Amino acid sequence: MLEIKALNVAYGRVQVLFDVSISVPEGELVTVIGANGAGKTTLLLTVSGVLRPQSGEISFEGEGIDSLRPHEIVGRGLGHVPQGKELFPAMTVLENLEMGAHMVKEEDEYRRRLERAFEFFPRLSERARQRAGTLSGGEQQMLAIARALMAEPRLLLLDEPSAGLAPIIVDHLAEIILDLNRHGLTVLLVEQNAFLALEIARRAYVMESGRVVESGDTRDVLESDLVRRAYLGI
Amino acid sequence: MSWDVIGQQLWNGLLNGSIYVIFAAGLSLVFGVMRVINMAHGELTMLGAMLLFTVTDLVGLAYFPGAALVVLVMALAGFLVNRVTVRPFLGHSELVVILSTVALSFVLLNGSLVVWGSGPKGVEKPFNEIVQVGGVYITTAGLLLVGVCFAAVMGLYLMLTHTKLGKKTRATGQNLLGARLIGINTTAIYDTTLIVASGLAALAGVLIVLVSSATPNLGQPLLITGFAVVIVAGMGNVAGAVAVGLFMGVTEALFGQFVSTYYRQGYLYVVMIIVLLLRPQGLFGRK
Ligand SMILES: Nc1ncnc2c1ncn2[C@@H]1O[C@H](COP(=O)(O)OP(=O)(O)OP(=O)(O)O)[C@@H](O)[C@H]1O
Ligand SMILES: [Mg+2]
Repeated sequence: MLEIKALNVAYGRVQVLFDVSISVPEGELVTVIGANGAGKTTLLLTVSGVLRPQSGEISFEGEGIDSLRPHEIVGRGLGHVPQGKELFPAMTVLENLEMGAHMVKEEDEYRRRLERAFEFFPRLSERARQRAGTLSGGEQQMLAIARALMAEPRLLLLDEPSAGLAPIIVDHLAEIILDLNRHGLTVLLVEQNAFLALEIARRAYVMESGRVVESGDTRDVLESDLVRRAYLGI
Repeated sequence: MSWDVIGQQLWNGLLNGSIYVIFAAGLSLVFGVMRVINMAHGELTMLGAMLLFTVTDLVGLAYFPGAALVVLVMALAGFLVNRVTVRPFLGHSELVVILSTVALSFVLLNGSLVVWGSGPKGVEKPFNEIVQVGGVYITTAGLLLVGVCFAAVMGLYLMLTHTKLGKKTRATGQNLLGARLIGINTTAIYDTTLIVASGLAALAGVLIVLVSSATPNLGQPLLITGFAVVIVAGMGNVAGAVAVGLFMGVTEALFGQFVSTYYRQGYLYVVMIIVLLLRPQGLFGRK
């Protein structure tokens, strides 16, 4: 569904991604793990069209998207929950969700999506009239995911959704991500929390200093010395 | 002091305040959405007034069609303002955008001086009766000015709060990356923001000539006052700018009448400095 081939990305003169190739088949939950500064966020922002690659190809459902602008890429069915959540802090929870569905013209369709979002995140319906900036960290993360889902993407990019959350909330979030995936959503999950990622993903890529250093079935990656030492501390 | 004098100054203050309101609303909108300080905003108002002079006096249009034409043309010019002086410099330091709009302001001001000369130009008003209410003299042209300003600002407010375009505009102002990642075409939002702001600036210009004359020099002092209003209200807070614009207009007139005409403009700055000392984020600003 998403094919990234030999991607090179730089900030100014500083190159941060080197020949990164990643493949996300339809219906799967794929994870990219890596330490601070490995280039995971850079990778996702490039897929979304916010950053421009120097070279390489990105195709989504068989069509090249590397020259499209972010709003066109969202229009193709690709959602992105960014690392900083990037909510609209002075808007209510409801308005944030409404913005997520800004491309939906029919009121009925909007209602349907809103109900679905509240089914996945009942907590958000309790907080509907509260300003997003006043939500707790976990609630903000849920809102960020729900907002992206309002566009009904077929592929969702998740950038470290577990960052800064209590373990119990991380478990809850993992359940939700698995559930979304079971409902047919393809997911590319970026994580530092290798435990979480490797627990729920079928395929995994390991990034280090801007390069993919390991990839394969989650079980094989779990077995690899590199990952055991670097990310799991065993 | 007599009540008539106070009443007259309240009315004069309302006229000035209405102009401040509509002027500051546009300035504040651009800052709130794009984090851009548009130093050419005053010149856009000036162009509105001067172009109205040209289309009425030289081309022969009546006030209303002339004003509508000028506002429309200036709104479209807002697109160019964005594409030529703002957009190419976004992503660099904020100072660069300030300088490029300063440059635009100089070009427009000096160009206007060449085209129109520096003398004041009167524009034929659509109607100009004077009515006496109590002891206060009120012109019908002034009433038109106040009415149009409030209609325009209400329109802006309703657009920002009740239309999808307006909500997308606010979202973009609150979080640019967030807006891009949910598929809002933020380039189009920036274009529209400057189109609306430039139209509002020109509207201020065609209204000013209802109570005074058009001159290429009217933009600069207005920009200074506009900044005082926007800063006191809290940068980017459009609703706050409305309240403060009115307050400044009225109290400035009273100050001019009862304290000192000479220090009238200074008064606004003293208010600004006091507010900033007590509340650096402005009266209605957050954080
Ligand atoms: N805007 C930027 N300008 C210059 N360099 C940047 C910028 N953003 C990131 N970098 C650099 O690019 C490299 C990769 O950063 P990136 O944010 O993609 O890593 P990451 O894997 O997401 O890290 P984390 O787990 O901490 O989020 C880092 O060395 C970082 O310092
Ligand atoms: Mg990151």
